[in-house]
Amino acid sequence: MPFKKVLVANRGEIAIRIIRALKDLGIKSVAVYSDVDRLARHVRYADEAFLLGNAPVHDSYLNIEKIIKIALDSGADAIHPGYGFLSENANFAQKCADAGVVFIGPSVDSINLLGNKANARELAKSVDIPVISGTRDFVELEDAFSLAEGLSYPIAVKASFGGGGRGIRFVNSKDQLAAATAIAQKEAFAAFGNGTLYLESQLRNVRHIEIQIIADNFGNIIPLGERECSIQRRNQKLIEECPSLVISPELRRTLSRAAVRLARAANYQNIGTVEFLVTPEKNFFFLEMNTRLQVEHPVTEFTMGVDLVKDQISVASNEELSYDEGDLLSRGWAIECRVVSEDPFMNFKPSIGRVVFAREPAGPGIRVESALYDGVEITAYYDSLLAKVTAWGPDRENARLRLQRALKEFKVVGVATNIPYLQQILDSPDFILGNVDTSFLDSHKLTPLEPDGNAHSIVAIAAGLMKHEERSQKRSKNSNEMNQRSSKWRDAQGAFKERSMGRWIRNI
Amino acid sequence: MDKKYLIQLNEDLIALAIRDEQGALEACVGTEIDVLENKSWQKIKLEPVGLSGLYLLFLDNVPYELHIEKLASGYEIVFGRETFKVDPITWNGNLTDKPLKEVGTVEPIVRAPMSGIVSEVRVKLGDFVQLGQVLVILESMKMNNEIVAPISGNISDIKVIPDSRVDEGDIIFVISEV
Repeated sequence: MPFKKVLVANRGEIAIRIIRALKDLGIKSVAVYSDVDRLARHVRYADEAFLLGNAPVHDSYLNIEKIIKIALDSGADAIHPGYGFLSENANFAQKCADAGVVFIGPSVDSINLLGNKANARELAKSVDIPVISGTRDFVELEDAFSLAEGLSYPIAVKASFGGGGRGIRFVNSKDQLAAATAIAQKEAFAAFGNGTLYLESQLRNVRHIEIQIIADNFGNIIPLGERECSIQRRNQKLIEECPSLVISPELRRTLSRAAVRLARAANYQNIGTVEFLVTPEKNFFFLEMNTRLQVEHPVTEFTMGVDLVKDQISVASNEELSYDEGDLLSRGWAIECRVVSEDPFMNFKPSIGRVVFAREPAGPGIRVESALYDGVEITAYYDSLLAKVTAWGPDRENARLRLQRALKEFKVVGVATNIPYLQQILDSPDFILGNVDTSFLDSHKLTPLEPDGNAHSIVAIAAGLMKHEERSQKRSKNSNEMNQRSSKWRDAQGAFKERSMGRWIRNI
Repeated sequence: MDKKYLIQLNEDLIALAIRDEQGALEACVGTEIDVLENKSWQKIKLEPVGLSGLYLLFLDNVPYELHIEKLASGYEIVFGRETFKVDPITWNGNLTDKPLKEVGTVEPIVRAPMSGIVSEVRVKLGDFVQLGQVLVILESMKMNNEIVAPISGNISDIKVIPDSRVDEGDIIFVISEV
């Protein structure tokens, strides 16, 4: 049974993305919002919108009881969690099921199984997928020392229930272990409400490669190619592309088969992403599986010609997938970058404030997913993603050039953004050659480019002209009799009056 | 007849002359000497684009986009990734002594660089702190930001406790130099 109405339990660009897919499917959309988001675009684009509460996430986008109540009151058949917030929360998925509302995502059992990193690793091992040597879960910090004996340094301390790069610490030698586990546990507890940790050996010069899959309720599991997400800052992806320069058709097949085996073993339905680390020798290791829609899904959509959000809604409503692996053909190259409100020249300090002017790029091969508008207030309550800009081209270099063109057109006034930093990465010789790995941003210290040498004269001329105009307006005030008469005459004729727009057909 | 202006941009003092050549404006820009010697003139034109503060500046047929906001005195201009607060003054053409750039001193006051919630206070009243030592962890945009001591000294006042909310610019610590 197709859904009639779906609640979107998210905000920002991803809520808009989901509402658009619902419109394309002819399904009514229900938005939810916090008080600071009451004017947001996802609210305005939805068919109905309900207030969740105050801005802090526990009062709003993580308020499970309220979200389910709104779903029931508004008559929604299903809830789409987007990414982040409640998207990988098994408790929320269970409560949806209890309330008789479909959770658009995998089953509670699959989320539970794959959400625990240690269990997911065991599952991967059981279907012959290589895993990085790691330890069992532990809570007592003293256990770290005995567990670390079997591993070689550097070691990563990771949160068992973590995600999004939080709750991870890297340790180069034994004497750093105690401090790192203490911090990781604290961070894991704060972010995920669970301080369980595990240790993992660290690989060097690896690429982050992930395989997108989609599975319906009829046993079809289809891999949709890889994404290269090696450009990361503090474990947060910044630039993603599809396909990857280093993945041969053979390796793609091997990784895809591995991803499908894992999904089948987890009895997986809906969309998911299996993440791998790939070494320069083309050995690969299972990292984790994300049981949700990914931020970077547009690069796959561009090259594979699919609509992953539409498809995930369809399979959740018990429809069979309309395509087979053999129907899919990857075409060209797509590169996405994440525009965030962080100041790259102030140590990536989050920038908050009112965006007084925003203009998004467009044009051939460009797709923008954004929640920006003139006047939007960027607050400290939510993450700093402002927009995703994705470029498609017949090959990697053409996609890169289009992305550069788009970033140049992108204007945001009022908050600092990382756009200049993204432009520098895209222009760096190693990126152009595709020589990237997960340490790229650490090994390529990008220092701020000197501003345009002309900038000072341009700004000075603009400022001087503004002043000049103001002075001449003052001088001509009350003096230009002719002008006044002529404008009265023009008014009488019903001519266009500046700023009134009265005579023109308006459409909103 | 040209009109002359002086514009202070960060540490640069820029001189500008504007003249009307048969209805079209031209500018001469540079140092005071450059402008007094009328070195080179460029055609200029500045027009608002819509009502959102976007302006189009033409310099000899090369277009530049700027965002200009009028302040009580002067303008805030965004060009590229930089924001400038400028207040042009009219200039009579006499050479001025360049305004001296103020020598920067580090305030012994630590202010919140952004709004957020204090998640951890790592020092107590009277503690001696080293330059660069972490004083508090400020959570903002789901990220933990370390606020460090701008100078070495003793903590003489603490204005926050864990979980307190601070706005950008709020005083959080006072450090007295030893």
